[in-house]
This record gives sequence, structure tokens and C-alpha cells, in this order.
Amino acid sequence: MLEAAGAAAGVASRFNLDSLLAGSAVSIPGFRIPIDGMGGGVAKPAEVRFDAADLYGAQGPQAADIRQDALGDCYFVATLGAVARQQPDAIRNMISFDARTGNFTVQLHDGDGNPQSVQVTQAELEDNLARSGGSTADNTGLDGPIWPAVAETAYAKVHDSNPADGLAEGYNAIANGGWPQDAMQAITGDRGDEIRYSEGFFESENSALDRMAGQVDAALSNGRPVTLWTVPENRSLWDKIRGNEGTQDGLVDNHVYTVEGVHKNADGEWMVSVRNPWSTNMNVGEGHDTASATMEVPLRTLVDTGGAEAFTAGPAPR
Amino acid sequence: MLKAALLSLLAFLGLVRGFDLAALPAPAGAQNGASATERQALRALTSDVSKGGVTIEGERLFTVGKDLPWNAIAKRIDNLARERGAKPVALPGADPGKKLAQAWRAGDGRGVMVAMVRTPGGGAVAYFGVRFTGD
Repeated sequence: MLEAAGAAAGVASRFNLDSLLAGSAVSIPGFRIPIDGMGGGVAKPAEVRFDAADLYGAQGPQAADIRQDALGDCYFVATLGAVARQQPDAIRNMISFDARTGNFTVQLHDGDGNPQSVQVTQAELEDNLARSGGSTADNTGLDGPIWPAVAETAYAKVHDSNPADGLAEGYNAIANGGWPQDAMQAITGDRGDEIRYSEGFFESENSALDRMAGQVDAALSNGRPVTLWTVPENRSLWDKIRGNEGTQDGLVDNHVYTVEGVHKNADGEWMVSVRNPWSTNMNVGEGHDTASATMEVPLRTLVDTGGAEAFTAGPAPR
Repeated sequence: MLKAALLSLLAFLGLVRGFDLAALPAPAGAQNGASATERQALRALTSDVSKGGVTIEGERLFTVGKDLPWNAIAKRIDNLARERGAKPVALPGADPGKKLAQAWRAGDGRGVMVAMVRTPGGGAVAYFGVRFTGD
């Protein structure tokens, strides 16, 4: 990819060698070649800023490409991160780029798990960045990795009744919270399985913890994407009256994390490693704030405080 | 109404931590205060997203860095609000990611709105104590 300084407008233009070789048109300063012929009428000129080369970084799709800034769709972007971590090829197979039109095509799934193809335009991608969506591109000013923005834009678009007038409606639908299994279904076509803590009638807590950790570990080992849905920790009646928060687990309440792993520490306690889609754990306010995107939390603490609603394990690689 | 009166009584007696401006934690790493221009922009944003539906009765202003996303700021207040019985308010002028503002309403018709405008260094954040007009 060659980059040349822009013309009078001072805007850097990008020459896409792949596009040139494919015979498609590109935007050259002062001389726009139309690439989008709309219904046989006058072709509209278009700037192609983002293309296939901008989708992924050198290491391919990864959870670190997710940075949730200003949209309240943790359930969706955390799931994207989990799929990227466990099945990067699924992300690659989900998104394609058409150099002729400058559009991306995203394969999502509807509420019944059926494939749903969504076109994402350059303008819609720019809009996602203007909304400080779930990619790092709006933070770095670089053109990639852009795949989270493409996927997130597609998700907003399927929730918009009239994308032609902009995607505010779609973002209003997706950016005020949602459910982890809905996101898993939209991305993978499968709602996945919830793993919740439970104790059998004569089962000890240790045994139940082993069983739960074993299920999560097995899911991860089998390449399944896993997220963790967190909720407010249990509080005593007196805590509720006084407005006290009770014992905290260190994780954001009412949030969804990408699960990176489970392991036993030196004391034999199961530890869960999670990645916050915010890319930071500052301002959580539960006594464990850290600038690191990842945290380790004892599974026992999550269980004892009631702060973990469920793990969601998506489908195995196909 | 009875519930609101009971809560007011309990708050008066110091037995209930209210959801009010003074009780909110500052954003992590925030500096107190914002410029006059930023303050004006925050107030304008509040009026815009609420379509004039709130009256500002108090304010706390902060300056935050680029490493603290809007979601982290809003989510913390949202969790506190829910914990203390305040409910999120659907703002008529909401535009996710572009107009950074959320509001919560307590039982007495008052509440809090949190707003943020982006700055080169990160952002200016306001916690506004508001009264919802039209009550």
C-alpha cells in the first residue's frame, strides 16, 4: 500500500495496489474516478479510505483490536473479541471487501441463526469511527485494524429500519445494553451454552467450583469463544438500606468480558482471566482498578459474591 | 408517593445514601474543573439531548485523559444509580457515541445527568444535578 500526500485539501490519499491490479477505480487527488454506479444512473464518486488491507493487523484478528469507547454494546464487542481469540478464521470468513464498490460485506445471523448478509459502506464506517465505536482505529487515527468497526456497523445496520437516513436508530438499538447469547448468535449463528454455578444436593463448593472451571476450561480448549456476564454482587439488607456496596469482586457490574482462560494458582484456587472490552479496568470502582485490559479474579470470589451471572460458551470451530 | 416520602425521611435521618451529586465518585484520574468553554459546551449538550427537559441545579466538572473511555465513566454512574434506586432516563435527543450524555431519575423528580465533550487531551465531564421539568 503506497501512501501519498494529498492535494490542496491536504487529505492523504491512498493508492490501493490490489484495487489497481483488480481493475477497480481508486481516488486520486484532483481526479476522482467514480466506482459506484447506482442503478445505471450517474455514477457517484467515492473515496475509498478503508479496504481489505485495513481489516487486520499483522497478527490477524485478535481481542486486543477491541476497544469499546462510547457505545454501550459490551455484550457484542466482548463476544467479537472472544471469537477473534478462539477462532480468528471465523472473523476472516465473516468479512469480505469488494474493491469495485468499496463496500464491506459482513455475514451475521438473524434471531433464528440464519445467515444475514450486510453491506457496510465507507461512509458508514466513518460514522462508526465518529461515534468512537468498538475498534482501536478511532483512538489511534490509523485506518486499521478496522474489522471490529465493520462488524459493529453491520450489527447496527440490521437493527435500523431505514439505513438510508443514517444509523442513529440502529445504534440506539444496540448501544444501550444487550444479551451475551444474542450477540453470540448474531456473530456465530449459535446462541451457545450458558455455564452457571450450581451445587448438587450433597456437593461441596470446592467440587462445584472444579466442575464449573472444568466446563469453562474444556470450552476454551475446544476452541469455543467464551464470555463472562457480570452482575452486581449480593448485598445484605443493611447494605441496601445504607447504600453500601458489600463485598466486591473487582469486575464491572452489568458488563460482559472476553474470557481468556482459567487456571489454578499456587494456592490451588481457580483463577479466571478476563479481558475488559474497554481495554482498561480503570474506573471500575471496586478496589482493583488497573490500566491493564486484563484481570484475574478468583472463581470462588465470583461465586461467593454472586457477581458472575453466567459464562457463555459459543460453538466449536466448524 | 409514599415510597418517595419514606426515602426522603430515611435520607433525612441519614439512613439511606441518596443518589445525588455529592455522593458520586469522580472519574478515575480526573482533575477537578473544566474551562468556561467546556462548561458551556457541556450545558449545551445537556439541553440538546434532553430537549430542554431538565433544569440544572448543581454541577461538578472534571477533566479526564484519553485513556478513560466514556463507557467507563457512564457505566460506573449507571451501576451506582441502579444500586440506589434511580432509573435511567431515555433522552429524546440521544445519538449514541456522538452525544455523550446519560441521565438517571430518583423518586423525587430529581436526578443526575452525566455528560462529556471530547477535548484534545481527552474530555471534559460534567455531573449535573438536575430536576426533570414537566413534573
